[in-house]
Amino acid sequence: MSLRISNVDKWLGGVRVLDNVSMEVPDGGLIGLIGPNGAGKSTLFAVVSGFEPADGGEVRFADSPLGSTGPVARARRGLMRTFQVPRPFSKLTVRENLAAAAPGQRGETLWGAFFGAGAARAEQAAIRERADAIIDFLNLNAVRDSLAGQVSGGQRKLIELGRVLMAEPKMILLDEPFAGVNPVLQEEISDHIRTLNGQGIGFLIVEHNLAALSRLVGHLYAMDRGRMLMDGTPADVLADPVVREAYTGGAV
Amino acid sequence: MLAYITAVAIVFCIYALLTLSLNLHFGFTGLINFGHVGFFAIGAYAAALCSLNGMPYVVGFTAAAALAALAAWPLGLLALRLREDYLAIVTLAFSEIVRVVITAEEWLTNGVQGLPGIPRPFASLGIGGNAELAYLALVVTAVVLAILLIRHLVRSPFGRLIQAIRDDEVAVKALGKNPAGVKVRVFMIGAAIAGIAGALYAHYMNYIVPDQFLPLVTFYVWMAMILGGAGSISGSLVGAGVLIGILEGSRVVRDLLPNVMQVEMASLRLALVGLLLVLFVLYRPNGLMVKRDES
Ligand SMILES: Nc1ncnc2c1ncn2[C@@H]1O[C@H](COP(=O)(O)OP(=O)(O)OP(=O)(O)O)[C@@H](O)[C@H]1O
Ligand SMILES: [Mg+2]
Repeated sequence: MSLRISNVDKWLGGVRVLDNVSMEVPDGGLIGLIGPNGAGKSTLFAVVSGFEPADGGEVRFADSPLGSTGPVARARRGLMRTFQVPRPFSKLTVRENLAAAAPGQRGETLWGAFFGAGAARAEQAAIRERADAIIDFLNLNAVRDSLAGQVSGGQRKLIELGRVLMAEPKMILLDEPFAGVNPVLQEEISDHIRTLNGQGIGFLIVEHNLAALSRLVGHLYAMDRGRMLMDGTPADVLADPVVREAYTGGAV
Repeated sequence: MLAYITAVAIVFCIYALLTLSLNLHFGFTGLINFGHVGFFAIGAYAAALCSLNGMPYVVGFTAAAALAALAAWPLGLLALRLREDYLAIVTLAFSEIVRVVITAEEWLTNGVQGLPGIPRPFASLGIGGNAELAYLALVVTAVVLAILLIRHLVRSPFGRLIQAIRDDEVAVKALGKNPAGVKVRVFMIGAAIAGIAGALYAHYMNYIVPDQFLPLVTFYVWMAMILGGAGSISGSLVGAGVLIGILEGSRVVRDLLPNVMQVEMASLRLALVGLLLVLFVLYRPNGLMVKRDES
């Protein structure tokens, strides 16, 4: 399922935060998006995921236009995102945070909460098992039963990632998945992303850790001040004078 | 003395029902409902009118729950699509509209005169406090059922979802789950419980007037919930207990102070309740029954 962003504009507070932005993540792609602070990367995620309406342009997912659909509908189609600033369910435990993300739970309906207890229990046991596997992988075992509001910032970042993995997406927009995460785990997460990508899940990853991102993705987009600067292999993009200038704020 | 204790226990149970249902709304789901007394009033008048028109108690109680839930439905649909703090305003306005309508529609509700002579279940058990004790048993049963219902709900995956909605609605949406429908359902369930509380109140008082359903009642219930701890079922009972303690205690104080007039005492009571609330928000914001470190 490919994601195609065409000529998207977004105005916020009188500023053109996204200016005619176009990019594409092919079916099963693994793509990076870089740009200095304030370039508009997170805003692009907000528009693509349906949290913010676009002021122009079009977003297509799996070849159909998303139009003005909201975030719930887009996530249900399999297009999901994480947040740069983690949004944990702070009074639920880490494990509950992940379990809550599993899609289509019969126990989440009122009917299912009261009837068919056996089936609901079996379903929850399976969900817990899956959640525990992800918790294990993300090194969250020590805080599995802690309230998510009380774990460290880096751990919250991992919950954010764990939840979206639980939700069985077809394409994930990751907003700075490595921020606050230790380098060893960064590499492990990269491996895991490669594995998931091998299974057909597409990724679009925003990351300031350019080295780690370059090792992970084969194709990179760079944007600055709401505009797409260029795209290409990580080596080409990072070597490009325009991109370098954007990062140094013009002071070459 | 026994009669007094029974009477206080019955009022406590009615407030416990209101606090439990508000806790389902706010403590577990994050719905800011400032109009809980509206559902209470609808339940009270529904049950009273059914009884006064010769219908069986079962019909009255069912109508009380159903009508309160029905009132919550459009309210939920309307408000939950707006920004979340609008729900507070919409519900407050709703409860006042309910009271105004009850006051105005004299043909149905007898207006400010109220509805006298509402029969009470088990009244035939008659003298010696048996009738009161039997009614207490009924009210206690209602509280126990409400606790079991809410506990089952909040421990189910549905309950996990409503608490996720309370903690971060945006994140819930990002996972492809629609909070709106869930919130409307919770709103209706809590309203139904408040409606039952209203029915129990009407039958207990035998006589209801619109002035019993002022926003002050909502304020008391919020206080009980905050004292006990939002999101804590046992806290709802403790909070309702503390509230009844204050309300009854201030009555005792007035008996001891013959110079203090009824109106003065009412103001004093309100000031006391307000002071307690301020102290709690400052020193125990999570309530009595929620551990400090769980904030
Ligand atoms: N609600 C808003 N009103 C006005 N301007 C906004 C608003 N939200 C974001 N902006 C502006 O939009 C621009 C892009 O912000 P955005 O968060 O998308 O950047 P980013 O590329 O994700 O940056 P970072 O790498 O720091 O996360 C910034 O200049 C920001 O100040
Ligand atoms: Mg950002």
